[in-house]
Amino acid sequence: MSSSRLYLTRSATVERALAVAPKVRPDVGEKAPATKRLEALLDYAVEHWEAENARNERLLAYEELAALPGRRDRIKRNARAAAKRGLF
Amino acid sequence: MAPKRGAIYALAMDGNGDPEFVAPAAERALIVSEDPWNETMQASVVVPIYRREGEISEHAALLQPSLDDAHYADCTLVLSLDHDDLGHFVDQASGEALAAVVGGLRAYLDIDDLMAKRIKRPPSVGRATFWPRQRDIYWGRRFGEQRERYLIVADDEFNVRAEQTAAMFLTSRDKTWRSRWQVPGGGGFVITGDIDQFDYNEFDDRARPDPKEFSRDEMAEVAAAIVDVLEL
Repeated sequence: MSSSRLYLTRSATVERALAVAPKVRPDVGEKAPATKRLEALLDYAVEHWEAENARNERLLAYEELAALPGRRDRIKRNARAAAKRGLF
Repeated sequence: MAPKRGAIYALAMDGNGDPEFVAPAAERALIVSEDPWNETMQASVVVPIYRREGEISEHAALLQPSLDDAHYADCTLVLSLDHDDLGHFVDQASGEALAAVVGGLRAYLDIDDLMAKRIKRPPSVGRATFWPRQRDIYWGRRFGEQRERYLIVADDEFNVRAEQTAAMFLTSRDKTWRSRWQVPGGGGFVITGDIDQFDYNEFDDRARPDPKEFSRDEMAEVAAAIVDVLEL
């Protein structure tokens, strides 16, 4: 983000974001340039969002699997049927 | 904790109350499915491991690579096992052994031809009795009222000579969370990490589902997804 654009968009929200950035990214100090602090905050937000998204996807999967015990039953019974027939 | 790809586990399959249950001849299983699948699905794709008896020819070693001096993995018997059926951790396969298994699976599942959509010649030997063809869809085992569709994934040169083959589960249910592992085709979705072993007489070769087969394009997508889930 260029400094001129930053200047135009600096609002109370941006000020709060700039204050938060060093807390979530201690490697970017309070005295770092505003652009660095905002970049760090954006990186943090994207990482956090991706991790949350992955977690939610997994939770959905667990819920669906729990609601579909038939899948585990199928895999177990097919493996047992294969073993019983001497297939492996 | 879910098993990791490349780990070797003892088999711990019980009869689940079935008095006629026969324990598998395999001693161990090598995990070949990728870790995200193993962590999410409560089951893993494995290659069974057997104790080596006698010498093995150079050609057979492609499909049955040695893991150590005493054991080999049989890539033609790749299948899904529930994590309840895995016992204690035995060892981690070496990089060399895992690479050999990957080569065996690529050959057995005919990955390169499928991805290139090659139109192949008919198998080099004939067979008078029924044998399932790669890309074909069949009804699988009947358990009570339940009967599911399966897609044949093994190479036809293997199928024409064998009495059993690998097939993948085909479902009509579209689940966005498993989009990485489901490939559309055959009027549904094939789940690339759900692989089963079937004896030929377990398929119904007369009453076939509709559609009866995957197209060459659909099968190329399946092969690419197998490469992902088994890290081939």
